[in-house]
Amino acid sequence: MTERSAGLAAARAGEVLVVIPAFNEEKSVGRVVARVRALGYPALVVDDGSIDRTAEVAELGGAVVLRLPVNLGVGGALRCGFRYAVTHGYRVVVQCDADEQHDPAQIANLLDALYNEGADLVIGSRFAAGRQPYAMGRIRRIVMRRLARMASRRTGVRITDATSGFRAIGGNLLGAFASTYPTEYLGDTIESLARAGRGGYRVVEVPVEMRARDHGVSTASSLASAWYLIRVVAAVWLQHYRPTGRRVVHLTLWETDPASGTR
Amino acid sequence: MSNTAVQESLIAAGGVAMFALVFWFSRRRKLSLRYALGWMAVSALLLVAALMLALVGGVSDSLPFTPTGLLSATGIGFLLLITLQLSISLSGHQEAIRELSEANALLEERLSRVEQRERGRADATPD
Repeated sequence: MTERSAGLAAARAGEVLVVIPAFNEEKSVGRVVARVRALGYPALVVDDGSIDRTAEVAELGGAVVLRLPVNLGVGGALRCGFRYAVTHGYRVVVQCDADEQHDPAQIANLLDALYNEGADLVIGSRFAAGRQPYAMGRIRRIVMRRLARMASRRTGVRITDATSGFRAIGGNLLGAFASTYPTEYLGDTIESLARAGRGGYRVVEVPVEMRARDHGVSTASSLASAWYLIRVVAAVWLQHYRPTGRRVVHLTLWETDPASGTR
Repeated sequence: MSNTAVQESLIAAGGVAMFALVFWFSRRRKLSLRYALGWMAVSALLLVAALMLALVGGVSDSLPFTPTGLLSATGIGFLLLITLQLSISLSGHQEAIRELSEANALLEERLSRVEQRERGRADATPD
C-alpha cells in the first residue's frame, strides 16, 4: 500500500461503508471489525441469522449491526447491507468476509481502482498475476476457472476470480444492487457479475492476498463444486432472459443526525 | 351392476368426498379461498367425469389410450399443474420473507438508534 493510496482512501472514508456479512462467525468477526475500524472505515455487520454471539461481538467491536431474523444466505445479507448503505448516504460499499480470509488493509487497493479507474465494481482477485494463493482440490480449481471464463465473457473484462467475496461497489451500481441484488443461493458470486456486465457497468479486477479460512466451513467443498457449477450456469443463463426492469424497491434516505456524529 | 357403473359410482363418491373435505378445511380457515376454489373445481370435474364415463370411452377410442389410461394421464397432468402452481406460490413467499427480514433488520437497527438518543436526552434533562 503506497502513501498516496492510503491518503486517498482516508479522504474517501466518509463515503465508504465496509459491509461484513456474517453467519456464526463469533470467533473471527470481532478481529475483522477491529481492523476495519482501525483503518478508519465504518463497519456494518449483517448478522445472517446466526445462532452464536456474532452480533454481540460485532457490536462490542464498534460495528453497526443488522440482525436478520432468519438465515437468508450471503446474497440476502449483502442486499440488506446495500440497502443500509443507500439509505444512509454512503456512495461506496466494500464487502469483506467475516472469517479473516480478506485483509482489511487491502481495502485501499480496491478503492484506488474504483476511484482512479472510474469503475463501478472492483473485484479483489486471488489469482490475478497468475498466483496460486493456497491449496485447493482439483475439481474446485477447474470449476473456478470455468466460472472465471464465464464471468469474463459476461463482463467483457478478463476476470480471474469470479467467486471472490472481496469487492468494492460504487456509482449507480450500488443503487441497482440495493434494489435487485441476486439473493438466491450463491447468486452473490457470478450472477451479480453477470448483472453488472449486462447493465453496462465497468468491472475491474485487482490482485489481493487471501488466506485460507481458519474457522467455519467453506461453502464450496470439492464435491459440492460440480453441483454449484450447474446451478450457477443455469442462473446466469436464466437471468439473461429475465426482464432487467424489475420492481423498484423504495429506499428513503433516513434522517441523519450530524450532531451525534453517527449516520 | 356393470363394471362401468361401479367405476362411475366410485369416481362420483370420490368427488363428493373431496368436495366435503375441501369445504371442511375452508370453513375451518385451514385453506384459503383461493386454493379451496381450485380444489372444489377438481371435485366437480370428478363428478362430471363420473357422469360422462361413456364419453371418456368414446374419446379414448379415437386416441391410443385405454379409458383408464386417459383418465389417469389427465389426473396426473392436473396434479403436475397444481404442484407447479404451488412452487410458484412458494417462490413468491420466499421472496416476501427475504424482503420482510431485510426490512425488519433495517428497522430494528434504526429503532435502537432512536432509543439510544432518547435515553441520552432523558439523562441530560434533570427532572
